[in-house]
Amino acid sequence: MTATLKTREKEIIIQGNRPLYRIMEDLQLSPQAYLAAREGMLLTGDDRIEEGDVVELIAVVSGG
Amino acid sequence: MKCTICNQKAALHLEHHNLALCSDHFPEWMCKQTERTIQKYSMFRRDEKLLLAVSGGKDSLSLWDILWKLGYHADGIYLDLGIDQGTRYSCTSGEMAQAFAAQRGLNLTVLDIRAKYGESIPEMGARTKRGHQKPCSQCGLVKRYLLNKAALDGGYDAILTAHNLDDEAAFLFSNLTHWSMQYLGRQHPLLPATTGFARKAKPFCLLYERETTAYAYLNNIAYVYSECPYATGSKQLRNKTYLNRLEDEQIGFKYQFYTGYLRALEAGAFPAGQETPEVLEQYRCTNCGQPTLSDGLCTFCRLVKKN
Repeated sequence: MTATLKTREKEIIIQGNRPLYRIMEDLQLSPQAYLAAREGMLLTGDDRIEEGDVVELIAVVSGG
Repeated sequence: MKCTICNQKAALHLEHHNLALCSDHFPEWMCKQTERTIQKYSMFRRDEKLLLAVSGGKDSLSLWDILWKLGYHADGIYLDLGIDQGTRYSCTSGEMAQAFAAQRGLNLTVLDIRAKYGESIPEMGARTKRGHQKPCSQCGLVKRYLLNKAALDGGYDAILTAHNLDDEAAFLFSNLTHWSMQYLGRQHPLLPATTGFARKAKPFCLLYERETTAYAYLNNIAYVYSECPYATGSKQLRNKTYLNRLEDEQIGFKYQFYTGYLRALEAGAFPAGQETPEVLEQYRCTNCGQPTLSDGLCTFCRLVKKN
């Protein structure tokens, strides 16, 4: 029932079979700060993350 | 979620516009929004010679791509800051910028700070000890000076930067919390040319950072993804985090915050600041001839002069 989230720094194993926005909420990640992509396709918050999915979280924020 | 235009699967939900767009319609929308901002503020025309500050990051490469598609003639300039120790940050950024330009047949000038002035930005920072062990203030000063000089020397009509709405909102937040009136009077998307200073424009100022990132991703633009090593823990990043929390609570917050400020600025709520044309006519740097606020060397020449 798990899926994998890959960020710039690490990989996180998460519970799958639920919409992306719920996962972001649980991880306390702002949807403003990340884009999510699966197999090269950008996802919106209502997209379901299924078991075995590998989702890339692309950090949006930059600047010093 | 479906694309508002064609009903295909949406790639991005633009909540503050009440819009969802697919991977075909989102890039088109980005081009239209950029053109609209250029026209709204009368930034520049297609027959003008433009110079874009290119960092190798998502914003500047996306802006260059859009300007190219819209038929604007922008050359790029990449400043090699020499931030490489242990990271190859500048090296990688430069490679990204050069590969992008080569793929599209665009002109890119590379200016190596160390080769030209004898020191990289981290070396300048370490020598001057200004900025609490971080060279960020020197970096800002050097970039502003050299971009302006390149625009004037090259006969360009305007210099463009790819600051996005999140950048502008974070600057504004910082300037307001410090009541920095001299900056609050100058944070407009278009700064007209004045004595010794080229026109400056920010065509991405009304686009969210997640939108410029999505544009780069959907257009397969290879950009430097790693962060400048000196940006870790910076006020700018911290302010962006605060503003994103507010945006999560109140969709459209950053847009309203920045555009509300612009309306106040245009209504004259903030004075023009110290660097008025009259003040800048008074003194010239004794080394480079640039207008300056006091007699002697300008701030840049004081920085690069080692003795």
